[in-house]
Amino acid sequence: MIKQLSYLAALAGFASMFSACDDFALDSVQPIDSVPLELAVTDANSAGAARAGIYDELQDATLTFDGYIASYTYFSDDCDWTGTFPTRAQFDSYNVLPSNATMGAVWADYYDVINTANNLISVLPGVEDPSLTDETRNNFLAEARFGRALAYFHLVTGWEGVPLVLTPTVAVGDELNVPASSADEVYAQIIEDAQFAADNLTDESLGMNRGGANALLARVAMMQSRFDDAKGFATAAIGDDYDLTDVPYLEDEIFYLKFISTDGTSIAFFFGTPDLGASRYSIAPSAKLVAAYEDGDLRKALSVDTLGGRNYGIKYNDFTAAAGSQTDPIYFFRAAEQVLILAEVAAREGDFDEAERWLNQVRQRAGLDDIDDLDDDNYLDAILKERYVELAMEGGFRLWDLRRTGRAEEVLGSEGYNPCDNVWPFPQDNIDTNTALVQNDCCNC
Amino acid sequence: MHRLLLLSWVLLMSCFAAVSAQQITGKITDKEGVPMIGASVFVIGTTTGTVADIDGNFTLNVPENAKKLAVSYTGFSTQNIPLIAGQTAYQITLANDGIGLDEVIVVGYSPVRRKDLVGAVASIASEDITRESGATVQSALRQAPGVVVQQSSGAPGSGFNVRVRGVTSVNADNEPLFVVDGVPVIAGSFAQQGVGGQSSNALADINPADIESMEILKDASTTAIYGSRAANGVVLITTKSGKAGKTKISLNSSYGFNEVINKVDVVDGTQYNQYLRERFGAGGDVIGGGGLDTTVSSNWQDLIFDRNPVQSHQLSMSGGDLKTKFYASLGYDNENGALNGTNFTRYSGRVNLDHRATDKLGVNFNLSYTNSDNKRIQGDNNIYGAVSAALLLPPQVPVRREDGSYGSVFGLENPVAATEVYDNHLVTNRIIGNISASYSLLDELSLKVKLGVDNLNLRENVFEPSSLQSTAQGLIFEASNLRTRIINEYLATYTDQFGSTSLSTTVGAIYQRDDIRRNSFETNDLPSDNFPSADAAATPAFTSGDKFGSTLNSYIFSANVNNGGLYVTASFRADGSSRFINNRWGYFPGIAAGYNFANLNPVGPFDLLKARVSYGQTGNNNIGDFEARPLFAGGASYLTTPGISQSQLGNPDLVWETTNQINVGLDMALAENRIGITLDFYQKNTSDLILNRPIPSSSGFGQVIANVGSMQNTGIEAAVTFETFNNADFSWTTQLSAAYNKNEVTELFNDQPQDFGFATRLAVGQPVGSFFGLETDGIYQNQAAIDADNSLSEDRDYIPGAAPGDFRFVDQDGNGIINDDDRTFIGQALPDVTAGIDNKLTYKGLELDFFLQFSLGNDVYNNNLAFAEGLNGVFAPTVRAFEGAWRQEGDGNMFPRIVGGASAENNRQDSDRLVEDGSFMRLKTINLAYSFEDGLIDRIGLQSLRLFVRGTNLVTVTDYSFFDPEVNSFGNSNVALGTDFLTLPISKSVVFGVNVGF
Repeated sequence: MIKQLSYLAALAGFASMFSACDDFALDSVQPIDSVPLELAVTDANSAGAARAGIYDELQDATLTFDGYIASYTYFSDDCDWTGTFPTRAQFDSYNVLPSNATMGAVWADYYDVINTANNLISVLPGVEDPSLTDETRNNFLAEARFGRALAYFHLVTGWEGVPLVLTPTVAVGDELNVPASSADEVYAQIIEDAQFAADNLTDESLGMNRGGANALLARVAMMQSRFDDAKGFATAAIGDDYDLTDVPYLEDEIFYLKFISTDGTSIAFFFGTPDLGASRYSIAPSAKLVAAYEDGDLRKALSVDTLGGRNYGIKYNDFTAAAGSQTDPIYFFRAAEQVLILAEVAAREGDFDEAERWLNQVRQRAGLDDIDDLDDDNYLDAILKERYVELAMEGGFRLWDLRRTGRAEEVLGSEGYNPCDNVWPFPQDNIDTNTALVQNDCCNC
Repeated sequence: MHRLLLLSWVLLMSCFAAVSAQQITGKITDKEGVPMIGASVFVIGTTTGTVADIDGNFTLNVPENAKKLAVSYTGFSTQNIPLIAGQTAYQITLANDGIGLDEVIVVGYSPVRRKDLVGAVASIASEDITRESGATVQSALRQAPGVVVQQSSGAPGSGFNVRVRGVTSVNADNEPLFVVDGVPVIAGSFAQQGVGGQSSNALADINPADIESMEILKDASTTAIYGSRAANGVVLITTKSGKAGKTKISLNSSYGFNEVINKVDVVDGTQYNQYLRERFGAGGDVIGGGGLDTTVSSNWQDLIFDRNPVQSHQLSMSGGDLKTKFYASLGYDNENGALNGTNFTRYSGRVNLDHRATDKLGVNFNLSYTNSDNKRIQGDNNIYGAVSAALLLPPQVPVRREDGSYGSVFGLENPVAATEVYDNHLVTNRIIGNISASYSLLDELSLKVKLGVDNLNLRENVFEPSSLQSTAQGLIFEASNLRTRIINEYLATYTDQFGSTSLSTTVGAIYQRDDIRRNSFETNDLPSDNFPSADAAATPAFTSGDKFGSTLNSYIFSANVNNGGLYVTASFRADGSSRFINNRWGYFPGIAAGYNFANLNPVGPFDLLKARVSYGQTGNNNIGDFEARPLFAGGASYLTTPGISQSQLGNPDLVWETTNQINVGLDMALAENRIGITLDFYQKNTSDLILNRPIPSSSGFGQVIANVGSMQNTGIEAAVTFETFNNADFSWTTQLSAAYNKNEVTELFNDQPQDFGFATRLAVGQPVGSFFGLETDGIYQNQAAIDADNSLSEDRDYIPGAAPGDFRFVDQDGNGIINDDDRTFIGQALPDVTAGIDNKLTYKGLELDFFLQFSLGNDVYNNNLAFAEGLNGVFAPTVRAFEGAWRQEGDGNMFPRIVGGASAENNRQDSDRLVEDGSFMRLKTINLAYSFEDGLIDRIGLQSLRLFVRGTNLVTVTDYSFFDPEVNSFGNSNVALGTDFLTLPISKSVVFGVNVGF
């Protein structure tokens, strides 16, 4: 009897060990891969990690393909849609609906970058850490603001005026109902952020640099037809006596977003043909683009290849790596773009010798003959064509060029481009949830 | 807690009295005088008892103060025999239990006779659990009225969706709580490698052959005692235990085949060639970059589906004496799916021990171990899937090219390669066990301590060789997932009789902790396919690892009061959950009352006429462990610099979802308990739905977790059991069951709809799983019809780019153009009515049973048609679409013209063209068995010998055009239901088996 009782006692005692100790307390389980907001950025080290987080948001899988590349290049004569996703087909056919999930995801992912940047911009001034010098602090801020400027630049070139959100999201009340600002207001913010970056980025950055910030300022100035400003920024981006001819094609990096296999992209997966192995062939250079390369253009062999009767893009050519592990960069800012900006500004100013000097740097590198007959009538055609092939498949350059020069309808009209296609619709989910947002004047709205 | 423990100690120290004995004898027979061999006889309130011998006779020493004997035998009503002073010989006749009203079932933390139940509880007996081939815990539940069970994929070992009385949640789990021998077990899908929509099934680790019975608690008076996890009902699983008497050894073996339930008619090589020429013009048949070979015509479905073997072998031993009872089993199951390459192999073992150390002290020990290996194949919405590619890959692709490599085109996987060389093993090692001791402190008061453990150790090993389309140089993925649950339970039960009123109450404290540790990595580029090892790979793709967990502290109280025909139960549970921040504690009451009008005497024809009503509140805390917390997460690295970013807005005020349920029921028994009728009406109102409420994505977040929204389920359930015949030679029992459930979303955040899956919309006023899209209005037969529509709006053409042969859509908003605003609700995935007809017949040694399953009113969103009948791409179309394609005026309204380009996207839009009636009637199971006569088997030294043949899913009657309407491409999704997209259908099977008793 005593023995049996002691058995029960032993079991009860054994069992009570589990409840008596703290293992069962309601606070006994905590995450190890996350921290509460208030503990996130507290010193120089964590501020550095938070700024890396901005690059990480820029690396988002949807942005790296659909955001920076596919949405714009489908939506122009740069690339064609060869895949199966109907939402991507809508870009190719200039028929983007408000419900388009790819468009909605791209939009949301730009704002992920912006919110991540806003968090650091908001919290960093209050971080007290002796090791955090003003220079370091300003560099982190500059990286955050450059990341934010990049995101807003892609938003404003897709949707024109968009909600301008400059503070981190901490609560979910009425403050989330933000109306769309005008395109000019968005550009003004981009300029302010990029200028801060151009003044404050240092070697401590993870890759963003003053050249890139100036290159963005130059690009924005071109979008706004501030040609004189563009010249100044482009010069600041590459230096006064830049010579492109010595630099191999695609190696004229000012600032690229880079990847490693454990944190890679799927861009080559989407560009490659299945005959290369495991590629999807969702996007292909358009026949018009392929035809635009002059005979002898060395860039063609570095941009387009043919297999099984099909053209495919090879600027992103890590085909052997698996989707998600490919390491091709995003060519955010190359010197060639700045050189062509300088050529265009010179031509617009009537200095065709200077324009030819810059333009021919690009052409010489491509193994092409010099152009020596630029004039008022032909300079824009020549420079836009050069930009078309030089910057093909690298981003929205072609669409931006056609829009800023007022040629989008003329060039793309036969493919289905209408005046209302100057903007994509705001995502329907934002119209539904943001009571201050009024749909823009898109074609399907 | 400490105080409670101390109290138990004090109570345990008290003593109990010893007793002296007298001897009695008796004979137990049925009403025809047949001796009840092995019937058990107990002195109530003691462990003293014995078992009747081969003539039904027993001898027993009973304590002097003993008052009653309990005599029981499976299938017969238990009788309590008063002991009369001086009488030493008893003649006892047991009555057949008919429809099982005297069965004792365990509800909550206390046992109750079915007759005394006042809640809504369905039971499934052992023999019904294993009556289908490849049975799982979940598959058996579809026999219970009000339970909808859907197998989302036909892959062996894959998951089920079980819905008890409808859907209550959007974001938290909708599965019932599964409790094995009193311990809530880990259930769900934990595979980290996606192979399309199919989920894995942690409950497949429980061997159905070990289950004695399952009780499905449906109303809130029975579920409230399970508190914050009970909103979706509770399934109580009781495993087998030994019975006093001769040791029984049984061997059950079966062997048979799985076969695909149906195939889809896809064009052959010649027709595909014609299709390409129609689609792409005269030279169209040369597309595909040389991947096509006009000389071949591969029938991919014939190449990947076969008649594949299934086998099951179960060995068990059980027995014991009046003090110690045991059940031990070993099981081996090996099921090959109809799809080549799919397999589920399970080794399982169990030991259940029950020992009464003294009259006061009992110890119970249950332990099971399972090792399973699930070989999975890619499927669903996935170009590398076997079924996906078998449907879409052109027939003009050879299985293998001349150089021996697998043929392929358009980046689609070769279906044969997908089944032959893709190598994915999900290996599980699982231990579920509990040990408990109970002590009768007084006759009225007993104490119980219980420790339960569930340890799930899951490993995934995936090797994709370079011969697959999905990888250029080979890929290795490995993952592990270790989940440990420990439960610690203390109960005190007090039972007493006050005059004609009996009372039973239980109080208890229960502590649970779950720990989960996961990691995974993928690495690429192997030297060759001969090195399927992570060591050999050159390029790591990703690594991940995390840890999470939860604790739950609970205190319970329940009381049952019974006076004459009146039954009242009340229960209460307080749950504290680590998943919430400001609202950790939840309180869940339940109450029920019932009155049996036929308590003393039959009322009219009724032997039982019991009206019941119950009400209760339950919760659902089944969300992620840390979802309420605002968090910054690591892992946001750039190149080799570690990074952090805001990962979750969180919501400190988040609280569990609450379901209030009212139930009104009526139980009737007629004709000497040979007809039983149970009717239930219920309404479940769920509020505080935990939703990811959409917020403007310009905030950096698309959604935030919040308690917004509510949902309602209203339903009726009916079950009628007839024991039409029951005599020595012939018996026939029929059970009819039917359930109607109406689900309606009654509130969402700002009543804004949310979209899921392909075309599923969650919206107020609609049931969960509603399909949303354009409504078609035939096909434009000529240009005049298009011109007429285009004149409706000055702004834009009605459908831009439309041509004769394209679908016309209905302009719901009447503005003269078709756009997103013209979408409307075009179907629902949930059935209106589910029903079953179950028949069991025996004639001498021959047995026949068959179960017909009905699902009525459910639609399937057949997204396959957008591809296989979209007639615009390079994928192989179905024969009916190719032949029926619109080619000229008058060609009908079913299939559009064959055309490509963006304008053809119109013909593939989300529309009612893709919605099909998914109602079906299925001959779910049929079993024919023969048991050899006792005399015959005695001579060969056996106790019993039974041969059977079993059919599963043999006949399905449906209008659905693809494989099978019981499907979901989104696996265990709560909202995106009833969608078919390249999903592996369920199998049909025939197996032959033998049951041998030694």
